Amino acid sequence: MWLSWVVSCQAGEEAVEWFDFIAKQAARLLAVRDADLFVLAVHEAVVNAVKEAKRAGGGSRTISLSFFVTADDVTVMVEDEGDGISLETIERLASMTLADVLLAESGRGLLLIREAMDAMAWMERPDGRRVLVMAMKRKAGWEGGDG
Amino acid sequence: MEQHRFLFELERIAKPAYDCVVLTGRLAYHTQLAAEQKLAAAAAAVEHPLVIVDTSGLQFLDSTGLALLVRFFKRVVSAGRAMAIVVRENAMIEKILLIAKLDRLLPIAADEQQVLALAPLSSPGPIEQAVLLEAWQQRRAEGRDGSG
Repeated sequence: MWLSWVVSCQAGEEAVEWFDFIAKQAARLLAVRDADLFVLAVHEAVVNAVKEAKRAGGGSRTISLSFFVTADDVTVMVEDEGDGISLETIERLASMTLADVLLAESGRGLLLIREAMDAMAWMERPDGRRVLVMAMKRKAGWEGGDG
Repeated sequence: MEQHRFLFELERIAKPAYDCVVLTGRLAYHTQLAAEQKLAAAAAAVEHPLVIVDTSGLQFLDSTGLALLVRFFKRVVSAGRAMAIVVRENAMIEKILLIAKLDRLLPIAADEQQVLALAPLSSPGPIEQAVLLEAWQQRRAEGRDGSG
């Protein structure tokens, strides 16, 4: 089986709590490998998007989460209406680990996502913006139901 | 959204041998302003050479909360004190602390007794963070802490 859906929300402060709620329900219903880490990863991605919207001065901007579900995994794509992450930042993150930011007071969010999820990548849109795509395996033997 | 979902609480308890800082609620993006103020006040009020932060009552911890914990840790250590974290049965918080590699900065123990049993704490006076951490890591390597 496969399943997909998209949830959009205005990029205000409440978007974080709203998507936390959706991530918790999705993690439970879809029996991801680690529900806590799935919720944390979605939360971090949404916080990044909200911060980006605030920096751009656009409370009217939209954040969209697209969920793609297969028998094996759940993929989440996080889009906002910001400029997207720069190639330089992506390259810098690729060479960093959480051990490199032990005493830092920021800069853990994307690194936490990479550690929490089974896969994380940046997908380039036709307009050149890069959006975050991340996936987590589902528990073996899941056959549906409310877990 | 219900307001109580955004709560973060901190209680500092001066025990005979150490300061216990008990955190409850969500230490995260939404609570960062209140959490920063409470953690700064707690760091300034510490009385003993050892601070044990009890995170077992936290319902959620994100990168913002981790950064606040690190800032609190730096304040404690820069004042010449040492710090450890206890998680009790809160597997979710322990998992996030370990993923963030905070166990490379300070002991992350199941309870206060595991921290207080460390050799550097048997003598009175200041405790160096590096000495406390080394004792903890040695104890774990020897498998004597019982936590696997």
